[in-house]
Amino acid sequence: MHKEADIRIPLILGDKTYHDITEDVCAPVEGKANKLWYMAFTFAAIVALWGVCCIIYTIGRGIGVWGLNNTVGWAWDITNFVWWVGIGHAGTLISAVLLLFRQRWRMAINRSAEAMTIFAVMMAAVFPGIHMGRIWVGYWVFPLPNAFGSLWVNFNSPLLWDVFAISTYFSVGLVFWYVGLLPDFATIRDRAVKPVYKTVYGILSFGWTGDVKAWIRFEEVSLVLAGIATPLVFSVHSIVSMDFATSVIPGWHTTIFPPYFVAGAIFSGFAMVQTLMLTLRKVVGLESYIHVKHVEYMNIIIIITGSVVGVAYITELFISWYSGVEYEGYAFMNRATGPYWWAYAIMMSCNVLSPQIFWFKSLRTNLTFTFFMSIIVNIGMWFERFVIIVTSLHRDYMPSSWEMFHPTFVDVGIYIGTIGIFFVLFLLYARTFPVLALNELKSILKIAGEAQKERNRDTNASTPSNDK
Amino acid sequence: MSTENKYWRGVEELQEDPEFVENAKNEFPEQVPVDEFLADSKLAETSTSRRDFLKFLGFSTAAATLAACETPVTKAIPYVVKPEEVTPGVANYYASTFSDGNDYASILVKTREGRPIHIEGNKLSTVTGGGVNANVNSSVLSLYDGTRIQTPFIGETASTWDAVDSEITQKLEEIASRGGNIRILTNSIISPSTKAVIAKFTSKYASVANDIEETELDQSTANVQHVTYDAVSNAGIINANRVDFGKAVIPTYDFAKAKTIVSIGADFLSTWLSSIEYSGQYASRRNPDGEWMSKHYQFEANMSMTGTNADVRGAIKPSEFGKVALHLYNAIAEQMGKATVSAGDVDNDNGIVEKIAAAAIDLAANKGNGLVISGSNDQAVQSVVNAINTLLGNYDSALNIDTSSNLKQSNDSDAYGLVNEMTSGKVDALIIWGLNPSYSMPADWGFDEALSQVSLSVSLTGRPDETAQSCGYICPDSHYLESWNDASPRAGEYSLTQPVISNLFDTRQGAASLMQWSGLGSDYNQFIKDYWKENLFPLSGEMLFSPFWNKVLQDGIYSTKTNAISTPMVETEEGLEQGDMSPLASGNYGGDINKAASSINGVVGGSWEMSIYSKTGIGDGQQLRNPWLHETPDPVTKVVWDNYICMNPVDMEELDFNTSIQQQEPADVATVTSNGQTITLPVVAVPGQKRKTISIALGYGQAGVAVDGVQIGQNAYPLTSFSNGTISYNAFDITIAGTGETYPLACTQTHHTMMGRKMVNETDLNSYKTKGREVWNPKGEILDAYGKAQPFDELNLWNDHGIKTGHRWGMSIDLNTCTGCSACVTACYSENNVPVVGRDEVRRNREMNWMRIDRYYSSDADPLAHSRDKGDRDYDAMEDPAEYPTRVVHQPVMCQHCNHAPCETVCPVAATTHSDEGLNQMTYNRCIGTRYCMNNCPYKVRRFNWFNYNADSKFADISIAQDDLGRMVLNPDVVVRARGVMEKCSMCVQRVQAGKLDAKKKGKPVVDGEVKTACASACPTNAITFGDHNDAASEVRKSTESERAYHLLEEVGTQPNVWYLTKVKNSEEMRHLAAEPAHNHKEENGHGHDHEEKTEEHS
Repeated sequence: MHKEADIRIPLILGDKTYHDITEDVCAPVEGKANKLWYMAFTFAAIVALWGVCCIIYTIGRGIGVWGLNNTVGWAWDITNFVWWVGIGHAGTLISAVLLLFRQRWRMAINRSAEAMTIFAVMMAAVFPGIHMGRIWVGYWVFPLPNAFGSLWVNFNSPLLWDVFAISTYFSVGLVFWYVGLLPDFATIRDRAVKPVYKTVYGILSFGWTGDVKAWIRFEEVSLVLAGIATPLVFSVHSIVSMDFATSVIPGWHTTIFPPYFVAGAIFSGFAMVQTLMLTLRKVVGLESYIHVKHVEYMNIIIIITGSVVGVAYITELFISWYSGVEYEGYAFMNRATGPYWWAYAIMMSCNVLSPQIFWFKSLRTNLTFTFFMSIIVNIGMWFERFVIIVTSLHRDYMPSSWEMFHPTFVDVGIYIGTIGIFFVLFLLYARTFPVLALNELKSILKIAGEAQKERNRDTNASTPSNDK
Repeated sequence: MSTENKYWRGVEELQEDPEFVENAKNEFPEQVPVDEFLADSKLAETSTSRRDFLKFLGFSTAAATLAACETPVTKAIPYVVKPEEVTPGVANYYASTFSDGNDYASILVKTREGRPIHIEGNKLSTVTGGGVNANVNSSVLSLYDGTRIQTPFIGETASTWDAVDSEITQKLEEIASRGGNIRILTNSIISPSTKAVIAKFTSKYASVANDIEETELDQSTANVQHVTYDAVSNAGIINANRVDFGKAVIPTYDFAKAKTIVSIGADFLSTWLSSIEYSGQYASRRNPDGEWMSKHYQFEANMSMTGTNADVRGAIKPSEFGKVALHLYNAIAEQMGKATVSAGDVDNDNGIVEKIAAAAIDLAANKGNGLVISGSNDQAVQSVVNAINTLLGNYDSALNIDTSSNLKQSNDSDAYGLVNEMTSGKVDALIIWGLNPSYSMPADWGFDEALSQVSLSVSLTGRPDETAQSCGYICPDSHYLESWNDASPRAGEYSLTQPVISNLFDTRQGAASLMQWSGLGSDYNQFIKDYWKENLFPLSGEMLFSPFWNKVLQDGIYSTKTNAISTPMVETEEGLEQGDMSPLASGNYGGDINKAASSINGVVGGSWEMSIYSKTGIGDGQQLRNPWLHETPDPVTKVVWDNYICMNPVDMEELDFNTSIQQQEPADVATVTSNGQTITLPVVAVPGQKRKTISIALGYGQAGVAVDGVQIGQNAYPLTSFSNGTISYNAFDITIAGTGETYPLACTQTHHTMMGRKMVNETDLNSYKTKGREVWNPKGEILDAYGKAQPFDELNLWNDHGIKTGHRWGMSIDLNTCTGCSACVTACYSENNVPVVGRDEVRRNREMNWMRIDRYYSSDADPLAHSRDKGDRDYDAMEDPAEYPTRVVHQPVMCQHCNHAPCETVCPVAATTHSDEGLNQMTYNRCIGTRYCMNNCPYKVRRFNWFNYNADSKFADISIAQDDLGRMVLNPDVVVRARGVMEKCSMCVQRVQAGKLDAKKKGKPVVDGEVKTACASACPTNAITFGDHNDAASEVRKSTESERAYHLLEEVGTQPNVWYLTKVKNSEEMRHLAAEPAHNHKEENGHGHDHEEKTEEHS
C-alpha cells in the first residue's frame, strides 16, 4: 500500500470529496460550453479548415505546391511529422512509464496527455501520407497481398519500419487510453439524464459494471498495457530517427540519433503537455487537480531531457570535427555558420539554453512563465527537426547541387492547419470526455489530497494518523 | 411486290378478325396507362403503383444521364496500305543535313511510324564526324512548332499558293520589264543547288529587263542581286582575306593539327563557325596519352565556353582584341627577328603580358603547327591574325585558305548598301529568306523604315517574325526535315538533306518558291538531282547516276576526291581595290599590317565596354521557340530561359548588384546604353569576365516569343554597330546603370566552387607524365575493423550484386575532352521525353534534366591551406570564385548507377532496384513518391515529378506533351512519367534492350559500340563512352582501367558504374593534395583514418 508523507505537497488541492471529483470532471461534459470554448473552437476550426484546403490542394495539384526542390526533398513535411510524433511521446511516457514507477501525480494529467498523444500521432500520420507523390497508392507501404504476384515491400527501408512503428504505437496508445476511459465513461453514463447521452456513453463504456472483478481486471490490463507501451516510447522515436541515421547524408548519418531523438521527443512532449494542461486547468476549472506541483515535476523532466538533447548537440559537433570526415565536418560547420545559422541559433537557444532557467525554483513553479517556456521549447524542437532535415540536405556532397529551401503558403498552411485540427480534436475531447482519470484520482484522494493531509496534520498533532 | 407469298401474323389476320383489325391500328396492343399513373384521381385503383412510377422516373433519369455521357473516342487508324519501310515499333534512320546558315551538321534522323523523333550525328561525315550540338539535335522539336506559319499570306490574309504565286510572278515581271530593282536578301546559303536556283531566278528577271547576256552581267549594276547577310556575321575574316590574300573566303581550320591554339575572342567550341567540327578536332588532341597534346590560349572579354576549356585564359577588354593580336605579332616577330609594329598598351590586371609572351614562345616553338584565330569581326584584327599565321607558316596545316569554308558568307557592306538603296526607294522588290532583318540588323540602319519603301516585299520565313509582319507576302518555308536540299559546308564536301515527313502545314520550301517564280516548276528534288547529275556526278567516276544518287542519299554525304569543282560558294569579289587585284598564292600575305595596326591603335576604350556574343544552343536565335534549348542551361552561367548582362562579380559588388542568384534572391536589373540604343536586362555574376566589361547574348527578345506573357530575354542585335565595312559586336564606350528593379532569373547551379572536394579531379600534363597516380589520382583507401587499409570497393556492408557475368553496363566520362557543350543534355531531353518545366520551376531548383553538367570555378582560397586535414578551413573564402578563375571545369553528372545504391535500400516499396546488368532501375508504376531516394542520393541526380507536367495549366505554354503537335516528338519507347513519381537517368535502357534484341536476332553477342546512350551518341568530342564493362575488350572497360579513372564520391562506397577520367590540363604545374605532406596531428597519432572507418560501418 502506498504511503504518502504528510509534508509532501498534496496532489489534490482543496477540500475535495469523491463527489466533488466526479462533479468537477463531469461538469464540462454535462454542462454547456462557455463562450471561451466556442471562440477557441471556432478559431481552431477555421485554421483546421484552411489546413484541410491546403491538403486538398496539394493532393489535387501535386507536391510542387510546396517549397521542396531537387536538393531538399523533405522539409516542412517531415519536420512536422517528426515534431508531432515527438509530441506524441509524452502521453505514453506519463501513463505507462510513470505508472510502472508508481508516480501518482501522473493521474491528474495522464488522460489528457494520452489524448494529446493520440491526436498528435494522428497529425503526425497526416504528413507521411500527404507527402507522398501518389497518395492514392500509399497503401503499398503495407505488406498486403497484391495483384503483382510476389511484389513485396522493401524491408530494408526505414520508412517501412516507420509504418510499423507508428501504427503499433498508435494502436497500443489508443487501446491503453481507451481502457483507462472505461470506468469514467461508465460514471458519465450513470449520471446521464438524457437518453442519448445514456446510450452513447453506455456504448462507449462497454457495459462497465464497476464490480470488484472488473476493477481487478482493469488494474491488471493497465499494467500489462503499460508494460507493452513502455518499450514503444523508446522504439518509435528511435525508428523515426533511423529514417535519417541509416542514410548516407552527412548530418543524418549519425549513430547518436536514437537516444537523442527519444530525449528530444520526451522534451517536446512534456512541453506540449504543459501548454495544454495549463490551458485546460483554466478553461475547465481544474486548478485543484493540476497545479504547481505537477508543473514543477514536468519542468524538472524538461530540464533533464533538454540537457540530454544539449549534450547530444555538442556530441554531434565534437564527433563531426573529431571524425575528420570532410563532408561531416562541413555539414555541422554549415549548420552553425551557414545560411541557416539562424535556425540553428533558435534551436540551440530554445532547447539547450532556455530550459536551464528552470534550475530556479521560483521560475519552474511560475505557471505563466512555464506556459511561455513550453511554447519556446516547442518552437525550438520544431527547429531542431528543421535543422536536421533541411540543413543536412541543402548542402550535402555535391556543391553543384547546393540549394536553399523556401516554404510556400501551402507548407505553412498545412502545418498551421494540423495544429488547428489538433486543437479541434482536443477541444471536442475536452467537452465530451472525462478529461481527468476521475476514478483513479479518487484512489489518491485519501492519501495525497489536501483535505486528507490537513486531516493528517491535525491528527498527527494529537495521535498517529489512522489511515483508512 | 411481285411475289405471290404472303405471310400473316396469325390466324386472326388471315380471318380478318374485327378485334384484330382494330388492334392492328394501335402501336401498343393494350392501352399504355399513362393517364392512370400521371393522374392523381383514383390513385388507389390504378394498376401502376407509386413504386412503379418511381422506378420509371429512376430509370428515365438514369437513362437520360447515361445518354448524356460520352466516352471519349480515341481513334487508332491502321494503315490501309502499309508503307513498305515502316514497321510499327521499329525505328528508321535517314541521313540528312542540318544547315540553318549558322550551324552545319550531317545528321541521322530517327523516325518512328513516320515521325521524326530524334537527331543524331552522321558518323560517315568527314566534316562533323558524327557530332551534333544542342542547336542541331533540338531542331527536331522545332518541326512540331505549332506557331510556324501554316499557309501563305497576302498581307495579313491567309491565301493559297496559286494566288500568291501568280501575284508575285506578275509583279516581278512587271518590275523586271520596267528595269526595276529586285533584291534577294538571304543568310549564308551553302546549298549549291539553291545557289543555282537563285542564279536562274536572277537570269530570268535580269534578262527581261536588260536583255543582256547572263555572263556579261555586271554585279554592281545588275537589277537583280542576291545579297548575303548573316545575323551573326564573320565578314571581317572574309574582308581581311580578300585584302590579304585576294580570296574573299573563310579558310578551313583543322584544330587537330594545331599544337598551339591561340584564340582571341573566338568561341570556336561553341558557336564560332563550324564549332561541331572544331570540337571533334580539338578533342582529338586533348588526350594526355596521345602523341602530343595541344596547348590552348584564350584571350576574351566574356567567359566563353571555349574559354573555360583553355589551358591559359586571359581576360581582355573588347577594345584590346586587336592590341593583343599586335602584341602577339610583335612577340613572335621579335623571336623570329622580324620587324615589329606599334601596339597600344593593354590592361595587365590578370597577367596578359606574360600570357601573350608565353603564347608567342609556344607558337614560335611549334612553327607551322600553330593556329591563331580571332572572333572579332573587325577586318584589321583579322588582318593581324592573318599576318601572325603567315609569319608562323600555319597555312596549309591548321588552316587552309585554298579549301574554303562556305558556312559564313555574309557581306555586311552589301547589306548596308541594300538598306540604303531601299531607303532611297531604289528597290522595287525584296525577297527575304532565312533572315529576320527587322530583328537582327543594327538599329541605326532603320530596316523597318527602308522596307516600307519597297513595293513588293516577300518573306520566305517559316516562322512568324518581325520582318514577315511588314512584308506584303509571306511564302512560308518548310522545316528542313520536310525539305530536299544539298549543302556544301566547305569546298569538296557535300551532303544531302532529305525530307523525313511530308509537309505538316501548307508550306513550300524557299528554293521551290524561287523556282516557281523563275518558271521552273516547283520540283526542287528533281532540280537537285539534275544539278548533281550535271556537276557532281561526273566527278565521282561512277557509271550510272541512279546508284550514285542512292548511295549519296543513303550516306547523306559525298566528298569529291579532288577540288576539281570550282564553284566557290563565296563569290570572289570583283573590283578589288588597287594593289589587291590578283589572288596571291597561299601563305603570301599581301596585307598591310601597319595599316591594320594604326586602325587598331586608334581604338579607344571607354570606362565600360561591351561584347555581344552568341551562346550555346540559342546561337543567332533562329530556334528561340524551342523549349529544349531554353531549358538547357548555359554552359558557363547555368542560367536558363533568359539572356542577361554578364559582369564580373567584383564590379557587381561595386555597383551593389546581387552576385548570387537564388530562388528568393533575384538578379538586379540594369540598363545599358550604347550608341543611343538601350537594353534593360538582369545582371549575372560571371567570374572571369574582364573587369569593367559586360557581355550580352544575341538571339533573345523576339516579338511574340513569350512564356506566360513574358518575353524571353531582350534583343541585343540593335546594339550592334556598323563600322569599317562590318558589323561590330563590340562596343567600346557604354554606360550602365542599375534600374533598382529585380528580375527572377532561373539558374540551375547556385553554388560555384568545388569547396576543396574531389569532384573534378585535375592535374597538369607534366605531373601526369612524370608522377605516379598516387600524386594526382590517389586511390582511396579505408581501414577495416582490423586496421588494414582496403580499397573503397572491397570493403562492404552489403552483399555484392552478381554482376560478374553477363552484361554490366558502364560509362566513362573523359573530363579532359568534355567541353561543356550540352549536346548530351538536349539529346537526353529528346530521347527520354524529359519534361520541360520552365523558368519558374527551374528557379525553384526543380529542373528535370536527367543529365546535368556541373560547372565549377576555381577559388582564390588556396585549396591546400584549406585541405581536409587542416582544422582551419575557411569555408567562406572557398565559396567565392576567383575574380579571374584559373580553372573552370565541366562535369556531366547523371545517375551513377551505383552497385551499392543508397537509393535502393531506402525505398519502402522497392520501386528502385538493381538490375542484374548493373543498372539502377526505376519502376515508375511502383513508385509512391516518398522522395527518400532523392534525399539519399549523394549525387542528387534524381528528379521528382512535382506536378503533372502533361496536364497542369502552369506548363501549358511550354510542355511538349500538352501540345497535340509537340507530342509527336515523344519517343514511344519511353513512358511519359506521371505526377508524383521519381525519375532519373536509365542509361537509355530502351536502347540497351533494343541492342540486345538486335544481337539476339543476329545470334551474336552484343558488339561493343552497337549500343550507345543518347548522350554518348550526341557527344561531338566522344567524351562519353558507354558499353559493357564485363567485356574485357570494350572501350569502356579500357577507359576505366586507365590510371586517370576515378569514381565520383568513391569514399561513400556506392561503387558506381560511371567512371570519370581525371582532367589533365596543359598548363603550369598544379599542387596536389596527396603530394603534400600531411600535417594532421591525428595522422601522426595513427588515427587519421577514423572517419573512414565510420564510413565503412554505415555505408
